[in-house]
Amino acid sequence: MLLTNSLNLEVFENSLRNASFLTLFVTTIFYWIYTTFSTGTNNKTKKILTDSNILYARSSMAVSNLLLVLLLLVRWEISGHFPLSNLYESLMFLAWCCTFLYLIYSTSFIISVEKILGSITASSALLMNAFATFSLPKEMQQSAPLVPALQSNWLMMHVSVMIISYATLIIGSLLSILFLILNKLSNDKQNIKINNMMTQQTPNEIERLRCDEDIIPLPADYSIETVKSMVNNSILTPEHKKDFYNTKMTLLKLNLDSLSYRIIGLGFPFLTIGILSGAVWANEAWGSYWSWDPKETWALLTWLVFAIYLHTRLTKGWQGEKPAVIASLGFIVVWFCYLGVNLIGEGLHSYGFFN
Amino acid sequence: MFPYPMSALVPRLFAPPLSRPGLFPALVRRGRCGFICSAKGAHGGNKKKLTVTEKLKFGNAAPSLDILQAPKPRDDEGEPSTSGSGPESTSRAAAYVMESNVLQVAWRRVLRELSSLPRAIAIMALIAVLSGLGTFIPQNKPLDFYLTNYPEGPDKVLGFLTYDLILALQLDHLYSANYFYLAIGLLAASLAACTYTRQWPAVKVAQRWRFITRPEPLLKQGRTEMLPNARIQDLGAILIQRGYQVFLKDGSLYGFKGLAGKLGPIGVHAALLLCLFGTAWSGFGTLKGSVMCPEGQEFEISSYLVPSSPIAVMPDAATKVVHVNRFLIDYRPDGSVAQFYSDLTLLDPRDGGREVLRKTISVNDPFRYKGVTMYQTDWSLSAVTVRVLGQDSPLARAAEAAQAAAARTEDSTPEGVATSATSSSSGGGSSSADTGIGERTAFNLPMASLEGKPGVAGRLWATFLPLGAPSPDGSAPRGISILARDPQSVVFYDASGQFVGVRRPGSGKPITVEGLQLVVEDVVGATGLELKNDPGVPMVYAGFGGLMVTTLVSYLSHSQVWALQQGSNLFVTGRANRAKLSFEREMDEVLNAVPELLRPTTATEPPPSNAAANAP
Repeated sequence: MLLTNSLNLEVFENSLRNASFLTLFVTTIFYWIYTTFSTGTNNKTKKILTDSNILYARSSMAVSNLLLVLLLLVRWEISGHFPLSNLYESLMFLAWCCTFLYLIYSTSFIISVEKILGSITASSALLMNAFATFSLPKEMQQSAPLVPALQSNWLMMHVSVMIISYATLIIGSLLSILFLILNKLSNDKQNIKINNMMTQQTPNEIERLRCDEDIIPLPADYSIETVKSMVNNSILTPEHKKDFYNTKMTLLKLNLDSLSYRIIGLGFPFLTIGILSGAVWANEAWGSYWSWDPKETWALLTWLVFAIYLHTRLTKGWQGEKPAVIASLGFIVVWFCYLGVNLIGEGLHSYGFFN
Repeated sequence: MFPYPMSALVPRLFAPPLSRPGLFPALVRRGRCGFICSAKGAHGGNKKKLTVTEKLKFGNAAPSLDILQAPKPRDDEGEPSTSGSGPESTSRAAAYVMESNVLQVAWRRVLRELSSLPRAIAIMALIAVLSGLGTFIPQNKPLDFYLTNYPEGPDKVLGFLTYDLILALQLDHLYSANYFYLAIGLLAASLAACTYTRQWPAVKVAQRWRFITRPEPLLKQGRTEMLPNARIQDLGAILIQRGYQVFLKDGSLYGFKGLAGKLGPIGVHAALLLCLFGTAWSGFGTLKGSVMCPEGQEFEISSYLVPSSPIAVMPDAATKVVHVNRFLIDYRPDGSVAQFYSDLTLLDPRDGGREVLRKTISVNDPFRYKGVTMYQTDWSLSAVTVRVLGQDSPLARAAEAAQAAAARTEDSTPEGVATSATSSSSGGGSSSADTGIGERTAFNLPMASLEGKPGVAGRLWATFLPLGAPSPDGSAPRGISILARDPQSVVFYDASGQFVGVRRPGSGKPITVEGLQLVVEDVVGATGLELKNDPGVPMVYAGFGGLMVTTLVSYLSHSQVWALQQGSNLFVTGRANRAKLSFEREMDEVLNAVPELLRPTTATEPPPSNAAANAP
């Protein structure tokens, strides 16, 4: 009876594994198509994907989120301990965090930004899921009982907070990288010149812009007065889509900048709490709260890089490009902290990735 | 409510010298930071509009010139009128600058250098790079490790990295190198200087009630709304309902909310400083050591606590003695380790061996007593108890040979599988053939570790039961080799090195080796404990807790609202340092809620528009 129970759970876990990958794949494709083909502005005949279709994409993301939750819960049930003890489980948790992050921020921004956020989070979650399921050796995917050092309540707190912080920082840095790419492509200046953007918008376009910009948030450094006045006071003339495109592009970049700032701003306290709880746990378990273990050191490095990012934004008031460069550097640092450190081999954190 | 002058409310950070009354505070208020910081060019050419705070720091003109010039009348500057400072301060400040001596100039310069943000960022980046470097070069290894792995000659690592370079640059112990400590010290100094020169004055500025008396500076603040036919008192009441602290004076209003958001960053810096000082205290005051104590033995704590610096103080608890009652490894059915347990008793030797505390510790559950903490970190096998069945002559010979071998415990016998007893246990002695006939057959054989020896993978302990006297030429005697990797099973090899069999301790099942019937009774383990006394831990924990809290508090938004009543028109503006979007929404809601007064007397006025129309 117990045997069939456990067999059922294992089979269920397997099917969840496949199902989560499948739904993430579908979600990614959904968002990519939606981002590429739906604009609603330049070609009125091709309005295949309207703004209301975002609901399909959102529910697809919600379904994959749910499947990942189920997968983790089933693993918890099978192994008897919190599902965060090896690389496979932490990757699944990371994928779940990415999808959850999307669901949190999905309604806070305009649709175009939401589509981009969805594309990025869905594809990131898909890559993490795929790497965990297909690239990791089978024996690393099995749930194993915990070694004595991990048998502590701190496991839940420290590791989950760290993974959450990784997810937020990864997504935030990806948005910054996107911002940099858009910057290079569109050749815009850093400070908004109202004159360049105000001219020659059609009434419909203005209307659409007004509808969109009802929920434009304020990027950290730009004045909403600027943004709104350029919309309210523009001159109504046809043509010059390029200027309108520039306007849209600049608004998009403003929003991306703001969104990445907010997401990284969410992740930084989590990272702080994660590092500190890890230090306290180390003191309880091994008697030393800081032993310059490679993983600890790289987590500190990540913290320093993002502290620099926040300082340049908060205090110095750099706009747009320079903080984004720092955040892009942070992307590499976060990945090295999460995965690369295990390649170095030694240290208290090498729980059997590469022996 | 009327505002009080700032000087009466906020305690002065620095008392001015008696001979120059009021000059120092004037410098602070007027822009001491401006004097220091703007010489560097005001944040590198930032074209952003200056906030109120920054205007106070920098003034409307270059302060370094301002201070030396004659004071200008302040009415046409359009700044929010302050309560307390006057035009006299500028001339006094000028006089003050002339009179300051070299030391104060140097101090101010040091503060300016330390508190500059690009410098702080550079220091953080330096620490980051150095830390990262230390993860690629293995730290604190013995010298020959670097000699082997980073050799001179044609195959240098990366083309230039040799052991010479590593040792010269202290890269083998980078985290305790003096330049690393210097970098951390610089970071601490930078944190303190920044709080002192920027954050604290900014808080003091934020605490002052800044009233705007004319519309122009209002319009300069940012988004400004004009509500016709509104009363400033209504606005004040609505703001109070929303949690603002509101101050009204002569038709001018100032309200703020969330001052904690301004104090948060100060708290972050203070918490970081607390952490750094705590780690420094730990670095100097820690005593630690490790001990491998077999079951049944005991040790005095103080013999194993090594101070990390001469000023470390041995705690009182270190005079106590720890007795290891039992060491146990809990195995799972699949053979993996579930947990390590050590049953420890703390005895007071000065009180006749009275038991003070008894606890079974495990990994993640240490033994704490008055500042001394003992962690379960390691284990080993100390001895194996083997009983020989039967009473024939090989037994007697074995007993004699074993006693002879015990007399030569200092000599190591390199041949053969087992070395002689070199275990760290305080001598279970060698084979103690007990006196009674029935008990004559039990041997307590100390085990030695073979870990790291050629051909040995993982942890392995071994011992040797000799069957005869050593030969005259000094080679090892014939004997039985007994090996074990863990307390679960013991492996026997005969005199020619052939594998004989495996027995589980305590099973009672005999094994025949070299004509003798042996029963493994017990494997005596030893528990590896890490002892520590770290006085800096409370400070570090306090810093950690403060850091977690203040990082979160820093995200609170500090919102400010100004309003000015001109006739029947109400001008309102506001700003927030975080959460600008929700502040905008809140402003919209507040302005929508301000009731509009109808004035039936004026016929030429336009039809009263809804106040809501003013907010887009």
